[in-house]
Amino acid sequence: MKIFNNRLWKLWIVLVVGFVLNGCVEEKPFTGSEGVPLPENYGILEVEFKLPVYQVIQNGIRRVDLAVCNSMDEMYRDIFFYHSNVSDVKQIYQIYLPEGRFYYQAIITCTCGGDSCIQAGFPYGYGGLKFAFDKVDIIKGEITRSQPSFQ
Amino acid sequence: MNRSIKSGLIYISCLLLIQVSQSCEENIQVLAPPEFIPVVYCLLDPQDSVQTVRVSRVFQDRNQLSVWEQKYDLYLEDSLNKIYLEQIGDQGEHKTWNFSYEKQIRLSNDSVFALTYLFTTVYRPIFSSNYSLYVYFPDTKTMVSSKIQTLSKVQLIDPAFVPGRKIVIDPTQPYVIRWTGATGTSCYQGIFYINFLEEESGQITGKTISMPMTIVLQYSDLPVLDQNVSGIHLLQSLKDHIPVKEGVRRKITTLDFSFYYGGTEIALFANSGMNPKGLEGTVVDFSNLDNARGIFSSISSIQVNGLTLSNQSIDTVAMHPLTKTLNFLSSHEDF
Repeated sequence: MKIFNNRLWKLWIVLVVGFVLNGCVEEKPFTGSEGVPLPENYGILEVEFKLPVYQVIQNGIRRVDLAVCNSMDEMYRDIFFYHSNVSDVKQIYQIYLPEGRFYYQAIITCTCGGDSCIQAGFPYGYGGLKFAFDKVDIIKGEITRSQPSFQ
Repeated sequence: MNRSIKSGLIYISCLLLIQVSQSCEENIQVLAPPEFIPVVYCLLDPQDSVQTVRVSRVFQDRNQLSVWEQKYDLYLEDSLNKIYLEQIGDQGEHKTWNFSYEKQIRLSNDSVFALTYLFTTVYRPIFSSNYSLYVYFPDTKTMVSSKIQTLSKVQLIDPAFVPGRKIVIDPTQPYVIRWTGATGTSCYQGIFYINFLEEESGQITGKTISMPMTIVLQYSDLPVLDQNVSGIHLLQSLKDHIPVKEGVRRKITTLDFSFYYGGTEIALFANSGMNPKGLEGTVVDFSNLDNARGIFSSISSIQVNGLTLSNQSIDTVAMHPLTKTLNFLSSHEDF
């Protein structure tokens, strides 16, 4: 028994192909580096926290902090709503933030012996801190990249 | 189906049933015949000046075969002063160190713990060196032996004491413990120690709680290994380890961190309990000793003291629903 005539058969094929193609264009959720889907209005701040190279000291520059706040005023008053766990072996840090303008601060220190740290411009020498900051605009579903530069 | 096929099938199935039921009649010996099996544990620590060997024996049931038990205990006593460590140098030269009796430990007279002796020697082993351990039982002429290469030195990357750097406990980000891989090392465990002050009825006392992280068994040759510890896990650990007390206020001061790493033999031993059961239904335990059960391996540790928590983390511990009942003060409060 023939169920489909020629015209119905073509229509059926078109419907099936259309259904399959529609299934293939599923929108992938926006995810961070751990693959966790982010809330709808969130974007990613990706900071390439490079350690500066000083001629007088090859090693001994260490990352101390990477923190985010809402305004320059908050930064001035040392009020940060987010601090990253920084490491000497990790250079790229991703921070998930809602859409909008933010400010971040990156801090490094010097742990060399002698007066090498003073020669490299670290105030007080060993354990002295250098700061860098930047302003970033987070766009939902996008990665905003930034790189702090130290003097 | 005709009748002849039906009767054939019934005949075959009856034969199969008889065969199967016969195969089930194998006699199982519930209690194995007595046998002296020593148990030896020795973990060399290149950062300790005293090394210890623990000698015991396989134990079945103290209420049975008491004559055999006593005899085996005598065998153990006979091993006194017959334990030694041998180092084999690159040029084949041999050096030995004798272990001497330290003490007897026996937790209880039950079926779990047998008579156990500890032996020690004053010696600091060398990283990445070849060692043999010998334990001799003269009565049974049993020589227990094993040979290993001690582990090489691991470097802890995170946590590290860096002036100004603070540890962040945050439910939205993990803390990552990082260390360098090393030859012959496959077993790792970190322990956070949280130091805090506790005020009760005007009295302030310093307290410490330890939060051991999960043991990592890693056989890969990666230059840097890591373990992610989620912020929620750290908060949950705090909640699990500190009792809730009415009228008590607490303030976090510093954090210490111990990192233990052990040889591949320990990793294999730790993993063996998880292996599929052997053919006879028994758990297959790893042992690298000849003529005994137990383990001969090496272990070492790294200690980092005086780490600090960020103000944000102190506030998180004070305010988070998981830890709020522990009454920790926020970063701007004091007793």
